[in-house]
Amino acid sequence: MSDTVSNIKEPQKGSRHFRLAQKVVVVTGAAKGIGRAVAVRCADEGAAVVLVDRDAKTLNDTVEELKARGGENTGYSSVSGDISDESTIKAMIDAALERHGRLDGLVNNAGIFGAYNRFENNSTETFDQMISVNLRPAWMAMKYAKPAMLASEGGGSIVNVASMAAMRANRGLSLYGMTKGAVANLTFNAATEFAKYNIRVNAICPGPIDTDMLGTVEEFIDGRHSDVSRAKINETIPLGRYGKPEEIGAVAAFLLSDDAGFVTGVRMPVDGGQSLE
Amino acid sequence: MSRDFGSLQDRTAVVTGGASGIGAATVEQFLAAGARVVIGDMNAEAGERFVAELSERGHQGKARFQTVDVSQEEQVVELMDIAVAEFGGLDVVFNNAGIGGAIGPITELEVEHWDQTFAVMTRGVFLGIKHGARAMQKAGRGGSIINTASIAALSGKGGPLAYSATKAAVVNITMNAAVELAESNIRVNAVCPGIIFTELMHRGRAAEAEQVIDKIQPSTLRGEPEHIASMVRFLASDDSAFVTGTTQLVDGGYLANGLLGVNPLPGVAKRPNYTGMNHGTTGQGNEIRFLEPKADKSEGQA
Repeated sequence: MSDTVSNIKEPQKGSRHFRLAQKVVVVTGAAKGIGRAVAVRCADEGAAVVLVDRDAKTLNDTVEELKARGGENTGYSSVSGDISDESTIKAMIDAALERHGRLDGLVNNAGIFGAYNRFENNSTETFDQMISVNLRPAWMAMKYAKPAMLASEGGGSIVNVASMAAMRANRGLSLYGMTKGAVANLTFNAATEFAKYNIRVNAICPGPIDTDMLGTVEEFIDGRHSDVSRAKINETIPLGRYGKPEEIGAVAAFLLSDDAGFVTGVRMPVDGGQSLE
Repeated sequence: MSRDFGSLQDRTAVVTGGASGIGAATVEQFLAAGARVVIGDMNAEAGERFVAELSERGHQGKARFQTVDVSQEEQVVELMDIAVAEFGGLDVVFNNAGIGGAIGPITELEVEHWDQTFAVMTRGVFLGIKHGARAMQKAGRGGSIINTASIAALSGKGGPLAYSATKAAVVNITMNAAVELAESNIRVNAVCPGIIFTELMHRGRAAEAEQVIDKIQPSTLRGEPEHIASMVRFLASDDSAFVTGTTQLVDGGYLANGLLGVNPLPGVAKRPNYTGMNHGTTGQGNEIRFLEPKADKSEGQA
C-alpha cells in the first residue's frame, strides 16, 4: 500500500505543467473570484479539486464549467455549505478522502470583507461574525486536514488566503484586518507544529485583486462610481493595476507544489508593490 | 490541457555567481524552463567547466560563461551587453554573486575587508539592477530581477556581521528598486535562503550540524540549492506577475518559529578567535588571522 502511495508522490521531473498530478486539493470559497481561479489552476496542473462554497447554485455552475473545459485532472467534487459550520469543514475533508482517495492540499480562501465601518461603529455581533467566517473555519480546516494528510502519506501543503490587511491598517476594515492578521499568525504556528510531518503551511497576502468582493469596497470609496475609485486605487499600486484572480491562482499552485518544498511559515505578499509605498 | 505555466521559453537570463551552489542550481532550472542563460562568476575555471557540462547535457548554445567581478561597473555592463547581443534582449537578472566577507569580532574587523564585502554584495546588486534594468527598458518588454538576500538580513545572530548588514541592504534596495522600476513593468524581488545544507555550511561536520538544525528548524528537510532555485524560477516567471518588492523566505519555517538564533554552525564560539576575509567560491583563498586568546579573568586574578 505504501509503495503505491510513494509512487503517486513521485515529483513530476521534467514536466512543469503537471506539478499537482495525482494530488487532491480542497479549495474553499471556490464558486467565484480568487477561489475559482485557484481551483482552475490546480485542475490545470493535474489535481483533483474539491470546491466548497455556500452559494450552491454558483458553485454547481462553476463545477459544470470546469468539467466542460476538459483537461487531464482526475475530477471535481463540490461541497455546498456554510463555512462557519463545523459540518461543512468535515464534509469537505471527507469528500477529498472518500471521493478522491486522499488529501494533499487545502486552500482556505472563503472569507468576507464584512461591514465597511468606523472602528467604534462595529457591533459585537459583527465582530463575532467576522471571526466565525474569516478565522474559525481556517483554524478548523487545518485541524481536520492534518490527520487526513497524515493518512494520505507524503506530507501536504496548506495555503491560507490572508490579505495585505493582515500587516497594516486598512481604514474601515478593522475587523477584516484583525481576522486576517490572526490567520497569518495561525499560519506560523501550524507551520511550526506540522513541519515534522512534512505538512507545509503558508499564507498568501493579496493586495487589490479584481473580484466582486473588491467591487464592494470600491462602492464605499466613491458611491457607485467604481471607475473613479478604481483609478484612485490603481494610483496606489506601483504596477499600476489590480491583480487578476489567476495571479493568486498561480502563487497558490506554486505553494501547493513541490517547487515550494522548503517554503513553510511564510506570508507571501501578492500586491503589485502596494505595501511598499 | 497542456499549458506553459511558469515557462521561461525564449527569455534571456543573467545569473551572477552562477558557477556553483544556488546560482548553478538556478541556471539548471532556468534552462529546463526554456531560457537562455549568461552565467557570470569570478571563478572562470568553475564557470567554463559548468558550461561545458551543460553543453554535453544538451544545452549547447543556450548557456554562455563570462568572468565577472560584480563590483566593477564596466564588467557588469559587459555582462548585460553579452546577454542582449548574443541572446537578443534581457528578461531576467538574478543578482546572486556573494562572498562570506569580513569575519570575526566587530572590534577586530578591518575596514578594507568591510569595504570589500559591501563592494561585492551591495554595489554588485546595485550595478546588476542598474544595468539590468537599462537593458530591459531598451527591449521594452518588462522583466524580473531577483536578488539573493538571506535570513541573516533579518536577525542579529544569523551570520557574520558585515555579511548580514549587506543582505539587509539588499532587502531595502529590492523594495526601492521595485517601486521605481514598476512603471517599466520590471519586477524586483529578493529571496532569503535559510540554512542550506552544503559543505560550506557544515564545514565537514555534517552529523553535528544535523543535530543543531533539528533543534532550530521546523522542517525536517535539509535545505538544498534546488529549493532556492525553484523559488527564483517562480519569481522569474509570469506566475509571479503581481509580486514585486517582496522578500521571500525559503527557510523551512526557521523564521516562523521565532529567532531561536542558535548559530547553526557547529563549534562556532560566540566570540570567534579569528578574523579576516572569506572569499567564498570565487577561487580566491581566504585570509584568516587567528586572534590571541583573551586573558581569562579568573586566571588573571589567581
